[in-house]
Amino acid sequence: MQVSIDGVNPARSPWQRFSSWLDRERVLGPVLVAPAVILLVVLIAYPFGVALFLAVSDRVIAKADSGAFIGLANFTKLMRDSIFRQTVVNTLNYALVSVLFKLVLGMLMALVLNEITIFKNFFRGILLLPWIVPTSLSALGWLWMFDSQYSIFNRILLSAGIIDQKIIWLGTGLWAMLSVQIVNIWRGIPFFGISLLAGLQAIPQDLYEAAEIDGASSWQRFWQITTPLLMPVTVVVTLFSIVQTFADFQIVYVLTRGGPINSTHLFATLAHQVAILGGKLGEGAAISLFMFPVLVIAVVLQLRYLQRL
Amino acid sequence: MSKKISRRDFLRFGALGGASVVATACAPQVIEKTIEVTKEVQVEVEKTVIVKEEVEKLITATPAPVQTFPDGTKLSMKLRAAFIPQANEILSALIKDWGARSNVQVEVDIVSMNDLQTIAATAAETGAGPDIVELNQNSAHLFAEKLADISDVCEDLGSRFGGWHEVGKQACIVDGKWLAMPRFLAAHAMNYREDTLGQVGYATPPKTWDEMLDLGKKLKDAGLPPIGLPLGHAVGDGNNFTYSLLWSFGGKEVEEDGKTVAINSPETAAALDFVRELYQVMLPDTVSWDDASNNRAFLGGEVSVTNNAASIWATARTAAPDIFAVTNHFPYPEGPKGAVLYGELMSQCVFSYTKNLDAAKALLAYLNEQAQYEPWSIAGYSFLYPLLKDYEFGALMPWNTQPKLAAFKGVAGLVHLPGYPSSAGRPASEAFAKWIVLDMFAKAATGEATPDVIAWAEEQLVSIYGA
Repeated sequence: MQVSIDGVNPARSPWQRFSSWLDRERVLGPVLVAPAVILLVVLIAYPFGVALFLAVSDRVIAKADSGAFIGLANFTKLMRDSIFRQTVVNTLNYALVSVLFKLVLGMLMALVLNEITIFKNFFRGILLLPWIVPTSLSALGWLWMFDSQYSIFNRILLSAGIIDQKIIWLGTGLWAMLSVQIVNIWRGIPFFGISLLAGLQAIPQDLYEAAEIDGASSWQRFWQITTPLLMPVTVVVTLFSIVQTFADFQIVYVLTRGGPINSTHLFATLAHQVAILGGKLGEGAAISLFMFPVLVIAVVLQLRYLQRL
Repeated sequence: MSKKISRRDFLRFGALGGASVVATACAPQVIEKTIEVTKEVQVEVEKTVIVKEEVEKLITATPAPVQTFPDGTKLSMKLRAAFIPQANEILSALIKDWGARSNVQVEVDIVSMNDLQTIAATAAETGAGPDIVELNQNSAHLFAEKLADISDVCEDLGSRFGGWHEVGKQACIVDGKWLAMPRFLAAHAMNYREDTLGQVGYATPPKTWDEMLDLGKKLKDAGLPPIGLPLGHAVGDGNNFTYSLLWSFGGKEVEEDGKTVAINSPETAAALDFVRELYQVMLPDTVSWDDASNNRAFLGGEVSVTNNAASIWATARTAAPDIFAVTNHFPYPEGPKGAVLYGELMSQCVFSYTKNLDAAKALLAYLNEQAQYEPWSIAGYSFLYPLLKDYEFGALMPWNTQPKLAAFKGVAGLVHLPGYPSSAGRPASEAFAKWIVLDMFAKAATGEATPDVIAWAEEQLVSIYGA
């Protein structure tokens, strides 16, 4: 029963009033976006802000009278530190080499998957596994494969006669870096592969047919048709992967902890060692923020490229 | 007629279900969780005849009366997992028994050592977390501001049982106050194969590092399993080897004042040159070793000598009986300055944010009382070495009953913490976390020139101690 108040419009219950207020776009939009924004602010923006504050302070774990503002002193100290300089080189080496191989091998994977007609979903599922399996677990598996005593690779290579002395995979600087890069590439190929596959499937077939009629070889078809049309996907995926690889932690932490003798330390692992184990929160925050300019450039490039499309 | 579940019903049942789950979880009982994540513990160790009888004798003794606490008293603690499941079980049982008799709800988490440092750092920094945490080395100095003063219970135990070893006092006393109670020393010795050493004329094991080098050369020439001492990032074994070597040669990171970096000395250079020579006769894998690698290598017959706690011997009993029969131990060799050794020390602290300080202190005192400490320590095969002087002489302690564990006796009096001879807390911990000493030896062993290596270490230490 609806009672009239002014004689014309029926009185509405509080719930009805609230409900129609919520229906207005000016209100509903922000309300729906709010959960995501809250998550972003709490989990990303706030810790990032704290990291910025820490990086310009001399804060040390569990010491109440630390945390004074010291400007860029942490950053200048890091530039003079040989371990940090080595970490910069390591990270650049790790990220650029891994992404290059992931791109090439991912493209191969996409091209092959594109051609498969039987058991399509099975193959796509299987090849996606390295990306899906939690890294800490797969890295443990690789740790055993690289173990100096029990390495399966050493066994195979030795018995095939390719090497005559076993390789200490995680023991020397060059091999250790190679080992962590191999694991990163293994993990990242499906990401590239599946994304590029999606891009490939969007290319209309008649372009290829027309090219074939005109006498183009498969190599020419690849470079003249596939590559240009895949460029948007490739750029996005590559930049995304660079950002992720720069910030990688799990693979190095599980396999080498940054050793041997700091030859596989990345920004994230070094920051962990300095801040959590060594207690120097300010320095650790400064180390992790060194990545920031690079990642900002990557994101800006990505956004500008996308805007041009 | 079936009724579709309305939203209201769903919410009501969901809430009831959730409430009942929460209710059972909060029921007053001793909650016990054991997480074994160290790689060493993955190898199963069955109850051995030796330990079982001794331990059972002690546990069946009538437990001492304990102080009771008001209802609702709760404690949570995070302890380090010993590599022997038996010791962990005994500890859990002791705590459970105390909790039941004192009317305290105790939640125990037995975790890997690597996690403990992060747990302690988080608890100290955020001001919330477990009441009791097991700390390693001189972490009590690191977290000094957040730890409760437990001097009364520590002094009491010290006065009744012969006093605490120096290394325990160094780790736990900050500004004259006990901020942690020393718990155990992971006693180390050189594990060796009697058969292979006997074959090259070392039926009596080497006493000095020079003799070790000679042994290494002889083993290598004879084609027998060589020496293997870790030069990789093995927190326990690697640091034990390199710090002991450094100090036994007379080198040190810093002077006694805790400020002047003293790594650049002829003694350090001598130690580095020595390790370079030693590495030539060692198993090359050692640069990639972590704490479990030397155990595996020894049990797999790949090395004749390695440094470790008694865990290799204990696991060999079931995992490799043929190696077990010929495994023995000898004390760390002496350098030019004698045997100045590194100790891996664990201590238990109470965070000052705890709401039940008296209960926490009572529990710590109980666990470290002789009647409770002995059965747990015995089950540890000398890995859980006591820091109260009198406990060492207990007739049933492993080094007094097992001839093959005799080498561990008296170790507690010989060991020091990183930063020795200074008692500096924070900088020593930072240098330790950054692996300065170990990396220095690894660099020298793998061919870098000694002056360059010392310059690198000096640069690092100056930025740590000088700051």
